[in-house]
Amino acid sequence: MAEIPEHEGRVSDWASEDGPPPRTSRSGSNIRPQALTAARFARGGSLYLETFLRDPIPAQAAAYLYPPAFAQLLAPLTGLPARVACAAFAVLSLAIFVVTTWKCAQAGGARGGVDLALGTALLLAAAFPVAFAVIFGNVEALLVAAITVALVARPSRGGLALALAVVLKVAPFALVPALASRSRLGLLAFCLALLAVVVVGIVLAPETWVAFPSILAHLAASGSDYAQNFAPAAVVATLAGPTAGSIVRIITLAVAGALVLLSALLARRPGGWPAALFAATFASLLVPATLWLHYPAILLPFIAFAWPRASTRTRLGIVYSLLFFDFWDMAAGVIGAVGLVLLGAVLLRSLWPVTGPPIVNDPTGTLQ
Amino acid sequence: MFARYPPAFRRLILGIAALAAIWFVWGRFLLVAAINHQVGGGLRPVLA
Repeated sequence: MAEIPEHEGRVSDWASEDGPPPRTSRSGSNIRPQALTAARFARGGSLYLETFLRDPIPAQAAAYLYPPAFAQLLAPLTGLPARVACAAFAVLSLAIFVVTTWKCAQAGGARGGVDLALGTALLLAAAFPVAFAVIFGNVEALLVAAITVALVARPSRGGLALALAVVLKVAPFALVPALASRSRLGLLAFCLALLAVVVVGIVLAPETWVAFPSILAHLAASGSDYAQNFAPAAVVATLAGPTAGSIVRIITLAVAGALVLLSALLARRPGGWPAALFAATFASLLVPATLWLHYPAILLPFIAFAWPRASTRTRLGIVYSLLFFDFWDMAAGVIGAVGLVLLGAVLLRSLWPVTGPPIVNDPTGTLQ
Repeated sequence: MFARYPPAFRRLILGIAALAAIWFVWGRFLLVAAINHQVGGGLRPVLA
């Protein structure tokens, strides 16, 4: 693939030029090629590199690989100078992380005020995946917004929010069985919103929507053996060879399937929705062959939600798990995988619905 | 966990921890990225 030069100036100015769609430079943020591609797409250009429609796509390819709707969502950024567009997206991401963490902690029982402000600041500062997602401009903040709405709002709004999530990235489809199991209204809202986005998208740019399944297939066909990829299968493949990696890949997919099934069952139980949504979100991390260090940022709403009522042991477990991500520069893959599995186990146990007789506060015995 | 300590002490500890995390997580990440940039690897740190 020929090297495509980096471009300065307004996003939309460059997007009007002829030539292949942009790819990022090593010095750029991840949102930069996405915004450039969005601008180009808005002017009738192609969304995906032509080679991506023919050959396996390297998992670290720095070019547009998202569903077409994300490019349309980025349209407001395309009138800005490229550097300003990247900064604006980082500020937006950080603001989303702050608001969602605050809201989830309140929904989990935290009182507002100075303690919550400091707690939010500490969690966001200490979670490396958040730093990564904000500094390099990835979609996690938008996914976190959708997951937060699904977690704390009524099911119909949750359905609309999850429709936004699946047009940004394919993996959040793992959350749909839980939504469907919880509420038919939520499922209806999800289907209608998704249908609306896809129909409008297809009317505007039919060839791109036809190309997208082919992009997914070529992405799936590529290798995932990067040292920084901390998908359990990739870590085991690096340590113990490709056969062991393939076995772990099958186990990972089976665990993801079991978690999706569990999420559908938990969603029907009283008080089971946070655990159901968490199980499904965690499954969505296990499905792709690659897991980069910004992906676990989508678990932040669940940490904030669980924290106010968590036991000291659970809180230490969360802090300990997050520390694994913070030492990414020691052995990124292995460290990330251990941190993710620990965090998943601690959060699932913490959010699991408590069964038993209802607690009645009746110290004087007058109700008996 | 900190409920038994006075609010002012609790907030001081939380504040110091948040500043330490900003330096250790965000600062170190940007520092590694900047050093990598100096040696010609681009602003993106080695891990991505």
